[in-house]
Amino acid sequence: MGLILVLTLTVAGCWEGRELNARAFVTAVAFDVPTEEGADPMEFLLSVQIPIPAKMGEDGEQGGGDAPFVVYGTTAKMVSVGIRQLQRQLDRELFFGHTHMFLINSEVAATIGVDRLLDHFKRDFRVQRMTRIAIIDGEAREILNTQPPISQTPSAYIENLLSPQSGVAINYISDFGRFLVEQSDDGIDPVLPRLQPGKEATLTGGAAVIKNGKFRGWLSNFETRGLNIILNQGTGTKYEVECPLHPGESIVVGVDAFRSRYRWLEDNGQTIFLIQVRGKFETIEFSDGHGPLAAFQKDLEQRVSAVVRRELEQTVRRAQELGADVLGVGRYLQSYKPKRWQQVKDRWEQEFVALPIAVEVEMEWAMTIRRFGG
Amino acid sequence: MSGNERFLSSRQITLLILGFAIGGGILTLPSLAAEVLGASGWLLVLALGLLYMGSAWIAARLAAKFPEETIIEYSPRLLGKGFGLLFNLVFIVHLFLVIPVNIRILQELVNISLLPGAPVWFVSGSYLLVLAYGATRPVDQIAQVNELLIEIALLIGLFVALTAFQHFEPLHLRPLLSRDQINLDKIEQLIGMTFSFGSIPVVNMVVPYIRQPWQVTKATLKASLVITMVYSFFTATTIGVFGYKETIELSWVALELAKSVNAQAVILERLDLVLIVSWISALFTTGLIACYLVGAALGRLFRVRKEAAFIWGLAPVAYYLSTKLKNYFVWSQASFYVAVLSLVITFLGYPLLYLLSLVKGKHRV
Repeated sequence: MGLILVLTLTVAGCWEGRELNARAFVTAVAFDVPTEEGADPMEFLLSVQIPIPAKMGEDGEQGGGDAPFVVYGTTAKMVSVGIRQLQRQLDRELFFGHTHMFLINSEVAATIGVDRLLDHFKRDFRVQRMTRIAIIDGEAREILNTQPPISQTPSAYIENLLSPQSGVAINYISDFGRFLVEQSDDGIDPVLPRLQPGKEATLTGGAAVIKNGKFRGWLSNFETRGLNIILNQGTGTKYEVECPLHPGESIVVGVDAFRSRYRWLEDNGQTIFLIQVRGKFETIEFSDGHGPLAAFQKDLEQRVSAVVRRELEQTVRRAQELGADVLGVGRYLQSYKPKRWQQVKDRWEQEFVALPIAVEVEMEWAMTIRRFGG
Repeated sequence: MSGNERFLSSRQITLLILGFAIGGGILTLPSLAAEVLGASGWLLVLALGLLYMGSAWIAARLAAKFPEETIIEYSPRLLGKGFGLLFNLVFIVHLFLVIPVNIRILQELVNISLLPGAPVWFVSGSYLLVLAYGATRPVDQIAQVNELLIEIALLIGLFVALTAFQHFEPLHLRPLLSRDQINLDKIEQLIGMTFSFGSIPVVNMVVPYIRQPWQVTKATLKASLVITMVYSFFTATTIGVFGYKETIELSWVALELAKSVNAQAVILERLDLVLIVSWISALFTTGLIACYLVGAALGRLFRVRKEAAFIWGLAPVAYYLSTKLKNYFVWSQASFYVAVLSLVITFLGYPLLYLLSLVKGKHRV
């Protein structure tokens, strides 16, 4: 017992312990096309962002304008080899336990594949499943070098943009864990959020469709919003519709209670996949002189339903164009019509493209009114 | 056994059975279940649990028939000297083999998260020393330690599972019993699952210390029911969150579940680490009770009062065997053999002994 006591008091929790200042905490990882001429198409530029703790509390003036982080990069074919190469430039051990983001350039995602690039990280016990992933419409490394508009680290800034707290329906909210689940599930193709590096700020909105682990194409901002509605992502949003009484005038409605459900209809040998969406909206702004009126209640509900339906139909069309079942129609079939799924699962991509998908939308004016009239 | 040596309450018996069962097995159980029955893996766990409940009832009835003795003492009288000895040896070997597997699982968990580079001699060695020392304590002290640790581990495990419900998709649990997902030919996984259920022997070894022996059946059934519910709920949650395909791909699904969520509160931001720390307690209770049972069984077999000598004597063997379980595949294989022995004892040994006890009558054996 004396031996146990000695061991407990002397080495508990400290075996192979690393001091904080002996570790380089990687907050974000980026993958880009190599900058060198004639690089192997299977090679990529691996960049990591590492915060400099001493500069993190300072504002621009006190810190002499230096960024509170540093970005290192190297070209490699395998992530582990790239990390080894990066390690040669650093006097601290690269640590991925606090990585918030993986940013992947769309070209690299299309040629090498998201799945292949993240293989190293899905085997590393330290990497969290909540880590955000985004496909970059531009250079991913550029985002790592962007100073956020408000004083915080760039990775925290981007992470907030990509998290539910952004409250923007045109963003697709996903993370590493969700990607892995959708990637392994039959009958659904994963979607990841899109980021576009800008001169002054990074833009969110839109999404990348992943098929067989590789980037297949983009969903526009509104197609992404449509997908969020269809997949019951619970995001609130706003629509602009024409005033039923005054053509040319607009009414903005806010919606935050969408409910979508799928139905598989077979009638006389005809198969239709039906997406039924119900929702409630409120009027929040009028361009005309009047406010909410009972007279146009029915018309307004029909107009809002039509606007939402058109957007959802466009999302469905885009998914079929890309040949990627981002709606999870196959997963629904597998769950509720397993016999049918058995018949079509091996040629699901072709079946999905040709499947008649109808969208039915019914919006209801929830009508909580603060002010009548203009 | 005199009345004042009977110090275990029926609640403590329930918790001892829980403490022995709930440990390393549950961390990998959903993967095995998903491999065998796909999205309906949780149903398999439920069915196995109910099957074990039936056997637990038989084992408890058997224990209640011999409230003054352990199974080591009455099995030779029921089976005859030769078969009785053989049964006792299988019984003890089964309990003993739990220890190296338990040590190896702890070693892996510690290396995965808390002390990545810590060598086997340090982690497994110090753990085994603590186990052996703990197992030499009186059974009431073991029951008290178990009572505290297993409840904390279960509460934290439940918290993780409930928190992970935010990612739960009911679609992942469908279709029920789809023919293309049923792989009953995966015998190794199917039998491997039973490793997590083999805690019934506890009741047949501690019955002489139970304050109210007539409550042993109720306490055993209660424990079996809790085990079945905990396992089924956890497996359903895991498959519901990850889908059965991703569940199959993951070795330590419980840890992955904890890695999927966090609570915005200081120490709860890394729920996986909180779970590991608490689950080490659950592993400890399994190892501690196994060590105690091995010592007690050998003591009764050789009619020696110094059970500690057996525990310390076998510690190097347990350590050596644990070092042989060098990786996940090897210790999974070892847990399969433990499960086979457990199956033999549970579904062959207990019913046979109970039948013989009924036929021969207690007064004659």
